[in-house]
Amino acid sequence: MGKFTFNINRRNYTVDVDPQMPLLWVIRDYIGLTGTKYGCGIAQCGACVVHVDGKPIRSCVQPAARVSGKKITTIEGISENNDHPVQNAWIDAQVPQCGYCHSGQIMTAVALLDDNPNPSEEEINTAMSGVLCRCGTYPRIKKALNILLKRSKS
Amino acid sequence: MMDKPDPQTISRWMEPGYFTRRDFIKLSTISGAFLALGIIPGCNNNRPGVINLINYDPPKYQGTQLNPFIFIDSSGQVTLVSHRPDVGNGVYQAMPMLLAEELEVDMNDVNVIQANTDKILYGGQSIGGSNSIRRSWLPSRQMGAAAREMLITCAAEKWGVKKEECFASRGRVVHRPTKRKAHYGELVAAASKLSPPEDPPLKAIKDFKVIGKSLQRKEIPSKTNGSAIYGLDLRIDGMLYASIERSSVFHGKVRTFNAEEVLAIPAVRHVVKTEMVVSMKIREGVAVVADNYWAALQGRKALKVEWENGEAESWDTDRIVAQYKEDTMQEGQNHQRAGNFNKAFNIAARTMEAEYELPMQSHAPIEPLNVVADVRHDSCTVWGPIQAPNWVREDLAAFLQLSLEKVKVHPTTIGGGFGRKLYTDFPNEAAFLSQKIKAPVKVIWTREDEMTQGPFRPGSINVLKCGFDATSHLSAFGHKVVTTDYYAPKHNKYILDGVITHAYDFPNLSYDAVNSKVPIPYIWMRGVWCSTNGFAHECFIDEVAHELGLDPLDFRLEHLRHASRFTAVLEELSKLTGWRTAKKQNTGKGIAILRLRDSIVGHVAELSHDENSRIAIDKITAVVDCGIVVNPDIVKQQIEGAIVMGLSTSFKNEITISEGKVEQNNFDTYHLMRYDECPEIEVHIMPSEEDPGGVGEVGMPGAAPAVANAFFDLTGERIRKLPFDLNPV
Repeated sequence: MGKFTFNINRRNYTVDVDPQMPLLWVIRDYIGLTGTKYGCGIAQCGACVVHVDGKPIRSCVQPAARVSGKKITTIEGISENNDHPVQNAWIDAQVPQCGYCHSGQIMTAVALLDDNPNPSEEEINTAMSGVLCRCGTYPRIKKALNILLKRSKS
Repeated sequence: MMDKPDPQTISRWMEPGYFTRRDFIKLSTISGAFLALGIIPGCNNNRPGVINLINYDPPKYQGTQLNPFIFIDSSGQVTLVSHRPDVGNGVYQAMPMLLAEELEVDMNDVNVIQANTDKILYGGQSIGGSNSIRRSWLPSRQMGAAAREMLITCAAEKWGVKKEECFASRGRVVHRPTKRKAHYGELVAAASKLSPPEDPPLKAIKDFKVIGKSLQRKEIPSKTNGSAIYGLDLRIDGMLYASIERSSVFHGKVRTFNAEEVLAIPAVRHVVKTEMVVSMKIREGVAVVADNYWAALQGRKALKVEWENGEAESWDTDRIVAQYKEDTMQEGQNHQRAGNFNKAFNIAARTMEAEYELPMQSHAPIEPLNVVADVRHDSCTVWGPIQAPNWVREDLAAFLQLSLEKVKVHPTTIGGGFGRKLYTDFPNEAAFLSQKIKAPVKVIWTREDEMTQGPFRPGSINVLKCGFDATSHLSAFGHKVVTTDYYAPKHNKYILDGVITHAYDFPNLSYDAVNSKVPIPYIWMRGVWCSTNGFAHECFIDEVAHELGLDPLDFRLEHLRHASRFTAVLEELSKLTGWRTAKKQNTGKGIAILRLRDSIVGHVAELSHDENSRIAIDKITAVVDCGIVVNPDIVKQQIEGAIVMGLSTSFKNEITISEGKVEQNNFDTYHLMRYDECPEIEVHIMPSEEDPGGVGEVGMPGAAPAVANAFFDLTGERIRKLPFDLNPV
């Protein structure tokens, strides 16, 4: 066991956990933020994407000890009122079906656009292909991203 | 312990008209008991237009109930009940729209809540079989209309005017001559004392204000900020966490395990044997129960189980396929539809035959199986992503020998189900464990657990035959399906879904089903038999058309000419895709059309290859005739998603077995279609005034045959075995 401190969504938390415990379970079971999901545990599906110091990472394979002291943002932390431009576009395009993967989808899209407000199709493909959706909402994700890119230009 | 769902339940579920209007009206008269029991979850949210997800400590709702589906409080706030759980298919929007239409309320002004599990009040509550709108179309509107008529009657009595002079609009009753108004909240207390009318008048289609609109789904905002509560997100007081090691060989038995060593790991509380019934056999496991999930996983890593493998060890994919192929010689259950196939085939001037092989699949919802169970000496409560709440309730009552009233089942938001979460095994196992350790417990399956344990969609072998007479007219057509269905009493005709629901006018037509016994756990997956039969059938139709030198669309039009809904879909597809215009170089087009759950979908796939001969699926166009459309955007969402799943299960992956074990275990070995592989998808809906068909599944089965037929158009090669890699390395 070990004590680790995280700044999650602009609040500080200290937890006493196994240093190998993945950040995913720290966030879900110790901090109590359940928007970040478990899907595969081996960094294949992307349902667990959070931002660590602004970069998207797979929290299911990040041991707590390795990200201690870092600034972490989860789906609950990207806006106060569900009104981040990406969230607005997701609602306007009616993207989620079961919705389970969409915390990961949205966190991936937010990180992509923060890093590069005008990504090429190839850059979008590279980023978004990391997150699986079994309901098959990919055409709607594309639609939402098109809405976003159009809005950011106008 | 019972193995559920039982065939009787299934056949009732599949049988059209199971839930009749009379049932609904009857139900509304016993609804008084409902409120008294206080079993409505949620309802503490008075903000209009907000969906109220399940509240696990339900406060008593202050509103008055007009029937099991409609509550109105004294301020006029209307709360509508969705009696089926949300698996992502828009039921929280589309189902209440039926009530709102007749109740004359605006969807923006109502709350929507999830019903508790109660078969007496709600009948079938499973989310599966594309049943939601299809089964509720008439009864839900009658519920809304009955409540409206009760409110109008009260207003008329209150004002001392004729009922015929009053009408309902936007949550109010209006007296036409005097323009006098009363909102529903003022009337509901008196209205609730009336008997519901036997046969309330329903609105004409032309008067619909809610039905037919692409209203946004109320629960979507909860899925963009992480606030939706899935089974995995639940926590109750005193709850422990469990991870269960199950035999990697199907139906293996636990011989010994090292409980002492595992118990020495910090935070591990129990190490116990578990069991449940899967596909008529006991599945055993060893559960590691701990204070938190990570600790349970660490305990499981230290767990050593010695297994006794049974008969399943001698099974692999090759043996299953070999048995299915051998069983194609069996007669099976025949559903001869026209003429005499055998006679016509035997005297045919020329015949054609083809065999199609379909693989096993994993449902692979991104939310793995999980459930919270709290079994006490005289009660049982479970919470989780449960697609079939009533089956789970009945299964647990039988297993724990409790009366139904003592078993509570709370479905949460479901992170994808596709049929897997219709199965009762995972709640049963968790209840077994909770009873054994005498504590509430949350069992979380790892992805590996889910992918290696099944149940799976079974594969199948399809034998297609046809004969031509001396003038090259098709004179006989036969389709035999060999697969495995544990829930079909004999050779259930549902095995022939998508085939016997088709409409081709071939003479001497024969459909046969052979139910082949294989000791692998199976359960239906989205599209069920149609997803495999449909591929074989629509590919063979294409082969026959080419054999006759006919355009595959024209051939279909010719043999469906008596079925105008089919031909209208085909003509629309032809128009939208420029089917009859000259083909560009290095491109191919393919078509398929199927009917499932009373809806028809036609697909056209467009393929191309680049200078390196790399084949791309550029576009899928789907035309849907699903009768009256309740919410067009939800229909499109379902068809789009089903196409992606249809392509994923045909061109990306399969489940294979070696020595009784599944060879894939996670998304690195079982590949799903990803964002960059998804073709452009365009969905068109045919206008219709027919009763609604289901739309959750029908978009899936035709996608793969359309692609396979386009592949032939492009390359001249037939795809008769799935999965097929369009671009092998």
